[in-house]
Amino acid sequence: MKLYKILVGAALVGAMTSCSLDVEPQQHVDVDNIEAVSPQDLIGGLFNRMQALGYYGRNFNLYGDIGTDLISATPYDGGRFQDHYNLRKNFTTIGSDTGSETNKNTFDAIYEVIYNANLILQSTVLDKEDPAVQNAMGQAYFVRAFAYVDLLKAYGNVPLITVAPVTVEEAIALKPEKAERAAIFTQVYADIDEAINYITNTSTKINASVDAAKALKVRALLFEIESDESKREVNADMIISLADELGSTYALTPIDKLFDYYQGEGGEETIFELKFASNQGRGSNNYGNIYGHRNAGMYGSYQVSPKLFNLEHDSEVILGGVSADARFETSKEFGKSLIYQEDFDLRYDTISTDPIVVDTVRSQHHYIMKYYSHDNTIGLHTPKLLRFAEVLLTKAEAYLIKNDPAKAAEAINMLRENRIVGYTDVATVTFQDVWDERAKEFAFEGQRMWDLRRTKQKVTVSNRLGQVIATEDPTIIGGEKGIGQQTWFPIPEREMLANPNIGENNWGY
Amino acid sequence: MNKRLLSLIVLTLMTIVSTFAQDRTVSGVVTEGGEPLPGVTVLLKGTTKGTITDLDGKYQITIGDDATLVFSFVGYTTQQITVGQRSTLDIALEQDSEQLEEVTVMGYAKKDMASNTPEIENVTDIVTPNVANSLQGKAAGVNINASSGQPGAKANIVIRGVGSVNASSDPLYVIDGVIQTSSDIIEANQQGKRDPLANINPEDIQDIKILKDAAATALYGARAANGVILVTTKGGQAGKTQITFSTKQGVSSLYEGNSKKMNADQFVSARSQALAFQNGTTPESELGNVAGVQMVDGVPVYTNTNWVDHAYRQGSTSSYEVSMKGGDEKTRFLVSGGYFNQEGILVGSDFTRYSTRFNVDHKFNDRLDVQFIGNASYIDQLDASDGNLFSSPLLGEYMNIPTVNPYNEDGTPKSILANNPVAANFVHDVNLNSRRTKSTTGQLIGKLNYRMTDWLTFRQTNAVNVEDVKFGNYNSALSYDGRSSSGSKSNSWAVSTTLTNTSIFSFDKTFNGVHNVSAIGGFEYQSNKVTGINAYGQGMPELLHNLDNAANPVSMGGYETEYRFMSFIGQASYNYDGKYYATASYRRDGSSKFARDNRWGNFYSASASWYISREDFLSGNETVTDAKIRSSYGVTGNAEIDNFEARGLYAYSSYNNASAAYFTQLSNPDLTWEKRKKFNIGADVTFLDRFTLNVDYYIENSEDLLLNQQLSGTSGFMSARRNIGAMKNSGWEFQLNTQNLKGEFTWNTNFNISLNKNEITRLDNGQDIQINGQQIAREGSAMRTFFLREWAGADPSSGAPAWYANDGEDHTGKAGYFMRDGRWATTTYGKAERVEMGNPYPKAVGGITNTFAYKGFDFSFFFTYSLGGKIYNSTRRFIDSDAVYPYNMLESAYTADRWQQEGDMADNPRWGVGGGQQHSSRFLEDGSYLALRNITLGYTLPKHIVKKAKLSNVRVYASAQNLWILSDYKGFTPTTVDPTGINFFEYPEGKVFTGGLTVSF
Repeated sequence: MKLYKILVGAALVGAMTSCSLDVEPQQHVDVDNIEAVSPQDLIGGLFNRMQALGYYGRNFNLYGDIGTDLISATPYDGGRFQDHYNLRKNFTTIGSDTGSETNKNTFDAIYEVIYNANLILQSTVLDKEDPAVQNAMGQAYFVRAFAYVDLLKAYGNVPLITVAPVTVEEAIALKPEKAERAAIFTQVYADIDEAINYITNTSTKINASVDAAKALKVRALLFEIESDESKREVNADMIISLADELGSTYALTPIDKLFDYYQGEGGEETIFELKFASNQGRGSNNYGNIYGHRNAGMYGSYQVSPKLFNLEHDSEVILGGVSADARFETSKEFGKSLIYQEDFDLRYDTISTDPIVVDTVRSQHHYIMKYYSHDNTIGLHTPKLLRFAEVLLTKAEAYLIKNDPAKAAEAINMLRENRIVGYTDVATVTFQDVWDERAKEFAFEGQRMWDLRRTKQKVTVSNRLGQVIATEDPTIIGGEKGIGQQTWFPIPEREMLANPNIGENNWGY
Repeated sequence: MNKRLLSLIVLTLMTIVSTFAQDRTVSGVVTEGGEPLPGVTVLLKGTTKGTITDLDGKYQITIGDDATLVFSFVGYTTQQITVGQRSTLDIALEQDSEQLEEVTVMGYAKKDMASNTPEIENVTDIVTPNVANSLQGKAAGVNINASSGQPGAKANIVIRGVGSVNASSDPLYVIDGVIQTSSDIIEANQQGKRDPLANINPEDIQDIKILKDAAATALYGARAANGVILVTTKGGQAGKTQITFSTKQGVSSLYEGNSKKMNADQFVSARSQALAFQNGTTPESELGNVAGVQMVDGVPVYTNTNWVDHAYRQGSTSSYEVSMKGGDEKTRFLVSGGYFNQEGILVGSDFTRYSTRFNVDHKFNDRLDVQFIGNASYIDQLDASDGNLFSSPLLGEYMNIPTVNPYNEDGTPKSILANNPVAANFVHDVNLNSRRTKSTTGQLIGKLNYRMTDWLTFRQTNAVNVEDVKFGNYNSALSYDGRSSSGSKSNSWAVSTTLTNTSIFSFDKTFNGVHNVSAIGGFEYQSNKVTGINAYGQGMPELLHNLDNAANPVSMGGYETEYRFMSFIGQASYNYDGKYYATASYRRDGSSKFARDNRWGNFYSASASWYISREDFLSGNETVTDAKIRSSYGVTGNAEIDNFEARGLYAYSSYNNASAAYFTQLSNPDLTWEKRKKFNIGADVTFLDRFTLNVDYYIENSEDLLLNQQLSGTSGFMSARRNIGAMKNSGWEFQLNTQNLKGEFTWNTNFNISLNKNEITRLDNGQDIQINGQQIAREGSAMRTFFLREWAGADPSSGAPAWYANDGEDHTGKAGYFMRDGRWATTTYGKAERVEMGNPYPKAVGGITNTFAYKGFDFSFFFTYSLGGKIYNSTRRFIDSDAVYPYNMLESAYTADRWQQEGDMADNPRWGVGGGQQHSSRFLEDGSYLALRNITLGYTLPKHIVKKAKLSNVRVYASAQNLWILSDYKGFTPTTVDPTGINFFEYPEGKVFTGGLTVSF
């Protein structure tokens, strides 16, 4: 009898002891322990967030090109980005594949970047005397400014947020109104100044440097003119002076190194880039896969508009054509040039000996291989978010504003010498020359849509047969079709519903 | 086995000091209705001396003078007989209906008379590796659907309507007394979602009880809101060792339903018309531009491939089970082993399970019993690839166009499909790329039962569950999906360990013969830990599938998470003379999942019932032979949230191969359990001993529902979980069991119907919640109400897609508007207002079974039905592009009413006009169905023939399932539905024909 009592007693005691409900997360750091997170890790976090699929991971770049004169759909678009391509965006259009907490739409993804910057800047536990912390703050100011410039370019009036809620209660209470663009620009310049103050990084281009902050300012100054004509002169002056400061440090990529430049990282031309390492690849969702040819294992959803190339069926060639232009050099092999050419008479592809898809109407198709491979990963790309060519072209535009076409031509000549085979200098250039050069220099880098609008040029989208399928006139508020000005993005429906204070949507959406 | 336990309690009750006199022996046989009754306790009154009858009902006991023997057996009226001078004493015992119910122990305590708990014993009629699928339509109040036709896939079980939005709607599983949740089960991948039932061999199951109401579920507290599935496995029995062998062999094939695709002629016709529209030409001139068509001398030449034939095949099922059971008065055992193999109807899917189980109980002495139950299974499952992969047959069979041939001229499959919308050829790739899950599951349960006094018992259950799941996904460099990576391999390995400890004191006493009091008090502790690692490499040599051979080891990862529960349990019950019952239950649960100040929750129920037929005024009534009414009210919870959801968290990722930390989760200290307040009133009436009707009406109010409240994106987050919602489910359940014919030819009918109405009663500030692009949560409407633009067909002037404006405005004279059926429709998607269009939850579900038996033959057929639920057919939305894209489409899109020329008022746009694929009611379909779920014909060989062969039982049978489904759903089977009501490239259930044999030795 005693034995059972001992057994039962032991069972009871065993049941009641070693019980506790205290469990700590093993994979995350509780916000109470933020001191345990190193400043360098916080910086990494900022740039990591910029790599979201909805932002520079892919979509934001695509939005700047799909739906412009540079791009045509292929039969393999699979319905991706159709609203963008056909210029029928509406506030439910959030791109394909996006819209969840882990895969946000562009608007929310950009604000998440701003959030993480704000979180660093508002911290009371970080030791602000620590140089590492100061650099982190500088990076945060830069990133916040960068993100707001993107919002200004793509959306216009948006809420200006400089605080980061950490509890659900605080987050619910945040239902901001839209701010005027002028107020946001003011914040951007203030952040850039703080970034220049705090940033100590000089060693790497994958984090922000003081020069990156200056290059960002050049971009902001140019776009500010769109919304505030009164700043034309003063901004042009500032652009020229900043461009001259940067000109002593950076140089253009040589003409024979262009393909390598886009596949690799660093380079004399790069001022700031977002490094995608192979372990951050998204497989088929990598940026380059939307453009790259199917036989390279990519989607090949969109190709270069036939109107850039002087093809026999075309009635007109846009942007003055691309002959002898290294940026549009074609090859029938992968990994050789920025453009892959698929010919009608190439009946067999290299892998399967099956007949490949051909269009009987057209003899050639051009696929964008600018983002063919990076870090041994197909379709991966380290986007060069600020590079010297932009500073140079912006300077050219600034000189034209200052009525100095000769100086503008100098800048353009400098660029073209590194881009066009056998180029001979010109003595003068027009605004249209600079804008067209900009289109070619930044083709498929997510700039065209915003530049077209900024410069009030009509948008004409052609299909791969050269037929016009959609147009937009940026000067018409509310757009040609009255369904929203397609050169702007609407604030997404999700935000409109969640935040009643945001009011009417922008741009007639 | 519970009967056994209680007979021993009775034995203990009789333990009184006695005196002994002159000894002699008396023997006899105890029978019931002429049949020997084994296991009856025979006790010499006034002593501790006693024995138990053997298998033949025989007993022998030594007695003194003036002896009185007490014959007792649980569920039977105890008899006291004075022996006198007799040396043989045969006794016939009679069943005592009152006592029979009392001893049904459900989980922690005795079954509450006030609960209606359907019990399903026949769980092997449906051929499925997951026993949940065989519960469908068998019990009122439960809606069960297969989530996929993938062999072994998780079933969706919804008890009395969905009561949660974001937390799980899965019930709690209690297997042999041990709590398990679906979230403890590791999910390897999308097609391979599993639940705890898939690990059990259905042949090992004694019965499954479904606990629905407060009276039955309250003791499970914080995790019982969605009801409880209580599984009891088979145990041993005293007597001669019996060996049973059974086998099933079956074949399965696709049930195509309304999902027939276009043939090549239809496709070419549709697509050439689309191209003609797009290019401003004529269909004839575009024939050569249709993918897959070659013009030979001006005549279009193309093949006609039915891709469905390549994606689906005749599957097969085979299973073998052997079990052995036996034992004596002290020790009983059961051991079993099973093998189940199912080759799925979709190419590249199969399921193999090896399982073994043992159940041993031993009476250590009068006071102490011990029991050990062990279960181990090994599952090897090959999963069909998800529809989001190029090489997926699910994707291919819908999208691939009929004008493309999968084979080269030499008969080998093409590696790349030219002209096809999907370049990958699944016929080529399916066997190259394997997605295999190998899981080993083990459960060990040790129980002890210690009777401290005649009225107080201590019970303890200790259990360890271990699940070890390995998943490997290989993409060959020769396949389309593996091309860009030069072949890739990913492996993951996860282990889930759950420890459970339950200790309960139970009290049981009758005062003055009529006041029956029982009570329990206990403590339970459960901890679960899941750890996992995963790795991915590229550059795999064709023949080698090990990560070690990866030229480029791309990534690795790991995770670790844990939760704990601590609970106090109490219950008190009273009944007066088996007529009036009252019970109060209480459970206090603490969970590590919630913030420190919000950890503990209280759950309770109160119930009462009145056994009317035991009242004098109904006693002897021959019409109403059994009747009771019952009611209960209580509160249960739902704690199925992430383990650390209340914390503010930084996540670590990487930037340029260095650590990157960012804020990933807002801190949420107010987060607490969802609560479900259950009220139930019901009656059970039996007429003429033949017709039993169970009726229940319930109202279940779910409160503090966790909803993702949408946040302004400027907060850095899109949404936050908050306890802001409330929802109400109310409904009726009817279960009617009738014995239509008795005697040599018997005919029984079981019919059940469940009517449920779901309504959201509160959201934060009454604000709608957009659940996804198609569904909202809105006050006053059902959960997941479809909120869509209403399809209006084609604009008669242009053939462009149109939607009803639904804005209440007059659009006379406005461009882009037209009138259809007296309502304004617009061709601008954004101008059409969205409207509520129903919800995925059926208004009524149920089943009807008819069982016939004549001599050795048995025949049954079983229908299930579902009425009123909607299915959003996202697959159709994806493929039926009005031929804008070169995808194949459903034949019904070809035969449908379509715009041809100006003035046509048609349901479908002109071929080639885009935009019709945007979300709208165009793709919302009626999910109602009537399905012939099962027909079985069996024959049990006559005993005298069987005995000659030295066997004890032989049965052969043949069955067919899913033979016929009546439905408008334009997919394969409306019975395979995602719990959201949105189907996307689902793997359908097939038709299954089975033959089986059971032999007992």
